[in-house]
Amino acid sequence: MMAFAIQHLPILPIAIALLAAALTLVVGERRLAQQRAIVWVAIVLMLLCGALAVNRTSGGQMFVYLLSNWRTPFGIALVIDKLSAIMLLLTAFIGALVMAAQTRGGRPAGTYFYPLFMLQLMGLNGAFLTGDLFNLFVFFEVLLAASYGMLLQHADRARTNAATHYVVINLLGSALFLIAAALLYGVTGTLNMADLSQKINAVGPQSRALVAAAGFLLLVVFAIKAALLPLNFWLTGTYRAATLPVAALFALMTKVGVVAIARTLTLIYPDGGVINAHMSQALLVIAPLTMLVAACGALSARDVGTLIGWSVVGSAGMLTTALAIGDPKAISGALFYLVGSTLATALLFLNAASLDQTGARVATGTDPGGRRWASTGALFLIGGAVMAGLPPFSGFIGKATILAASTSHPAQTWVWTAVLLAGLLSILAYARMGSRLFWKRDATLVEGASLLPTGVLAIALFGLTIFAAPLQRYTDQAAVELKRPQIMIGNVLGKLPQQKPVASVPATAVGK
Amino acid sequence: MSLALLVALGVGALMASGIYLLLRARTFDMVLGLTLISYAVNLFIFFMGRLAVGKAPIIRAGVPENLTNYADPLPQALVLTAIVISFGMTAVLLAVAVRSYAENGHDHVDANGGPDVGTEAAASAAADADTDVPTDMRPPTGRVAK
Repeated sequence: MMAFAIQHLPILPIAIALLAAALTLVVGERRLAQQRAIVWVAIVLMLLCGALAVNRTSGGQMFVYLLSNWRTPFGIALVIDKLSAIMLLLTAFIGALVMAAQTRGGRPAGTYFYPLFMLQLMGLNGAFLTGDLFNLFVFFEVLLAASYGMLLQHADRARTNAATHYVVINLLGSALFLIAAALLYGVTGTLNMADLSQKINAVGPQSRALVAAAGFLLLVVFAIKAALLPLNFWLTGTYRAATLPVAALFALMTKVGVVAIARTLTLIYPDGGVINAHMSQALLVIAPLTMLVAACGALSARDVGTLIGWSVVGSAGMLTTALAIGDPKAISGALFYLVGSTLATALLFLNAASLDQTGARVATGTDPGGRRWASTGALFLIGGAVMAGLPPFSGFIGKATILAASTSHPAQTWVWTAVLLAGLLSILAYARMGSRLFWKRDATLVEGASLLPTGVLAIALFGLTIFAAPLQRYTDQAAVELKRPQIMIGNVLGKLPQQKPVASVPATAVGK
Repeated sequence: MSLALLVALGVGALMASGIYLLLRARTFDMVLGLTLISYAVNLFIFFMGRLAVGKAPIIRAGVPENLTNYADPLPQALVLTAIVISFGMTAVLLAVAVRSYAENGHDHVDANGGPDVGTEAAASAAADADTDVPTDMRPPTGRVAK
């Protein structure tokens, strides 16, 4: 059983989610209990897969899985390195908490919620795992298609309008992605990321411009996903329109963009190339600006959903800044920050689900449930502190690592100014929103919302601070692994197909 | 060379028309625009395997297996995937566009562009815009599971 799990580990998170999605459809929309049972089993299995992947990769192992046993540059390869392992675990964890928030609420967030939810997780897992550019496009489409479905649930006017913008910008992004992938295939003749990395290095001067154009197109596409500055305006509206547990899941989708940018900067266009230098320069302008604009947006936010949405944009800017600095220490800090900020975003969204800001203001003193108010406020405070990067939370550790790593970088002044100013503005934004919500009580508490998922998230965030050393060791190793693309290239291209028994292969099948 | 130029101009014309339609900011034009863009992209993928006339990507005995004798089969497989996905996404987009029209009473992409739903102004604006479309064309809202 264990040997099977290890041998097929890279495909399992995708296959389990797909199977669960199909099973929930077979069971039917009316049998909610059975659907929930299926989803829970799938999520527990995914958690186990994620834990196994993190465990094994921390020992220095890298998994390469050849789909249909095709040799690497020709077939699609799935890869688990340290980065994808930790993303798998994070996805399964957030999935479990969103599911817990859903289950406690009684009804699911909409029709066919569970199949869509499973397909979304499948798309996320696939996007983290795949080592093939075109396959990455396909998994993007899977997770986007599922998110369109979840976003349009209970659509009223505002939601439909937000969904229209969201669908259109993502379709346009997909078109650009295809152009970039086709360009790269046309020049290099491969779509495998590891193989691309080598072939791009060897491209002659007459095709340099094409390869650079493709690289920047990829960057634009991933910037749409990660919501970097000129391309971030879809995000707040969309997140506000989504029901809040779904928005918690959406928090992972910007991270897909960030991980894809990480792959672009470390694997497809690795350090030392002219294109990489240009990309880093461009991102070092855009990403800190994104942080600043996001902090201003957070200050201007009038409801919790918008505030958290802008924080998501800000954290994407932070992560991309660190990736653009490119130092292994900065990347390690970014991965640390990524884990913390994703958990904090989920915490904030799930916590905000228990607040209703649509109704009239409740008069202070007559409102029952003082203890619930206190716990909801405390959770909001924790989430806000992580997003703003205040000690003692994990956001601070990640941020401090990134700042320390940028000291020798020429853009240090700019990065420090942006990071610190954005941090200050977010503290103001959270303080203002918090005092409005919890002191002036400019909202009502929703009955029946559970404290379990948010409580678990808060404990996890404390855990990230207390057990920061093991996680930081892991992210350090992951960053070193990312900065040495030769490791992945060697593993992926060196992976041989499994030998079939010789007798079963007819001689004529070996084409000559 | 002339074939390559023709192909490039064709892809460019499709893309340009698509972008123009997309910028018109009405849902129907937007659907058409994205469809044209996806056509352009599909053609682009297809031609990235190089233009080959009269060469099937099917291996024949005795003919050396290289791209001078055969068309590149991979872009053909890729374009098939891309066509299917863009087809499905266009269907989703159409559903969203119909819903948006039903909710807003007009087909501008930004809801703020027109009068509010439910007011007389909206009703008359919708009636002026298109008298053929029934005002109750709102699609069935999703079943809520019991």
